[in-house]
Amino acid sequence: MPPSVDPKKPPQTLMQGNVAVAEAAIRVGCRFFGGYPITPSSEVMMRIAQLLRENNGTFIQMEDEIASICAVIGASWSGAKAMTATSGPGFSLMQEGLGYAYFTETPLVLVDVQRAGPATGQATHVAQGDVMQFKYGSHGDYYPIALAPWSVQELYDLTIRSFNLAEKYRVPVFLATDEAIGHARENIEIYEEFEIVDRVREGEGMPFGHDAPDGVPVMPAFGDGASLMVTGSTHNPQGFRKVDDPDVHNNLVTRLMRKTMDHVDDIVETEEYFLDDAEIAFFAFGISARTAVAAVRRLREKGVKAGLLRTRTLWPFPEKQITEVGKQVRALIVPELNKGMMASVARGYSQAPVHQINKTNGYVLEPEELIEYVEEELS
Amino acid sequence: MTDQKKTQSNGKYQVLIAGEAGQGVIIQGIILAESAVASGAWVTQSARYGAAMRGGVATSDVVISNQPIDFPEVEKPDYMIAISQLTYDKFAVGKREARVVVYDPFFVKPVELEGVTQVGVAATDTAIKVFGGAQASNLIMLAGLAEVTGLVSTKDMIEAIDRNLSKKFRENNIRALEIGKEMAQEAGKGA
Repeated sequence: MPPSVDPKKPPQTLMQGNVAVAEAAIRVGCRFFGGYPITPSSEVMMRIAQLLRENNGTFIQMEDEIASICAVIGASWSGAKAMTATSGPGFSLMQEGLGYAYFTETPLVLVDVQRAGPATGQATHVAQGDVMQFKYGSHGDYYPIALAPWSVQELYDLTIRSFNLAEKYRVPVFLATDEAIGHARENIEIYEEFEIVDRVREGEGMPFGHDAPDGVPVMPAFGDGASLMVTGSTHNPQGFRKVDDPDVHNNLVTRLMRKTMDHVDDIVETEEYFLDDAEIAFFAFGISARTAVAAVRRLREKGVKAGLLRTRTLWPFPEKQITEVGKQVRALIVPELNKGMMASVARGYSQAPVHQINKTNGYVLEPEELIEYVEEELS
Repeated sequence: MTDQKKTQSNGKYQVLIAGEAGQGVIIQGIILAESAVASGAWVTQSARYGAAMRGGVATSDVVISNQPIDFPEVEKPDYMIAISQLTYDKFAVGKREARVVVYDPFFVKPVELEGVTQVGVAATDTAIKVFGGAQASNLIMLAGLAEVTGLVSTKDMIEAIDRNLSKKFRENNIRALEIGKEMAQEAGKGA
């Protein structure tokens, strides 16, 4: 799937997506996992429990997801790269802690292997229904990062990237995958050499403030010798609670927003397939992008000028890329395993009309369903 | 039967293994997929099942290709293993897509399907007779499919078994592969 891969040389390892997450996490330096098992994410936990034991890390199965996210936050403040993995119901329970992590600028990685919801829904069936929860799950102005892999290989690649972005921007990063990719087994290249980003623990400045309006402060760990106070209430650059000062609150909320939103070009990644002369284009992520790329190739064989904009980043949203494609095509089609969450956002940026293909029966969209839609609605 | 061997496809093979939860459908898919990777192919394996540990439809999809695979699940199976009447009726008879269907007569009463090569492999009966239990029947079925289609080699399947299954049952598992191969050969002679 990744274009850099030589089609003549398939990697010699077959691995499950969830296992690939654990393998990547340990290699990028994750040394703490706190979690509670939930289908379809549990294999992440099973594998990393083993790997952490072999690598002097710490694994704790907590009593629930609320405790899990809090344990991860604590581990991060003790200096460890920390993660958890869950699915919709657990992700819902974690939202309070995630808001706290965001506001306290705590780097962590959360893997959400999406399943059919709302509520307990269907545990073993796929969905892409948490699109909005990644962005709006916690209250207040909230700008976390969510990455969306489309293959087992990319679960490996983007787990590494999730940790690097979390450390670089001091922000929770969500790896927004789904049951179909998490449980799939595919060829994978487990590479050992790659760039590793670590938080800055010592240096100029205060742990919760920065001279630059989009700056990332230094993050000492407990035990490093800094006088450190971490609070989910509004705080000044030193970390002292300031719950009545309008400027402190506004400055903090604004800097946290700018920390990610001023760096969208660094964070957002998209890929284009057959877009050069495309008259209609799909916009998709995750498993639905796999469906779309197959549909595009078959539509091309039938003479339909179709293309695909595939995003590897859900949030920040690829506004610029959608705007560009929207100028070029006569229709933008968003296939997804929910009732139209990404489509509703894309409408805000695409000049071309945005069509939506939605499936919410716990199964993935098949290429022929997309082709049929194009032939019936857009020919 | 040689015309069913893998030379005739365009380099992509879709295999559907369909039965009930508890029959070893998913491990069959994993052994097949790992064996295909060892042979130098692009492979995806996925599964669909309910929340129950036993009972209810369970299917395992394996796609094997000489190119990177766009869509990872089986759309139209070329080959099928059927281990329940329900899935045989639904996929082999209802959708009528697979060119080759390997079925276990213990569970499946086949009907005539024109243009489809159907191979009965009495895996459950034989496993009970030889091993005293049905556990290895899934490997007998898989070896039957491998023999009929030429998709993967016995050597690669044994290596995949070594990576995935308990060493305690290694001998029985390898014997199950041999039995499946022989039974498919026998069935082929009659076809």
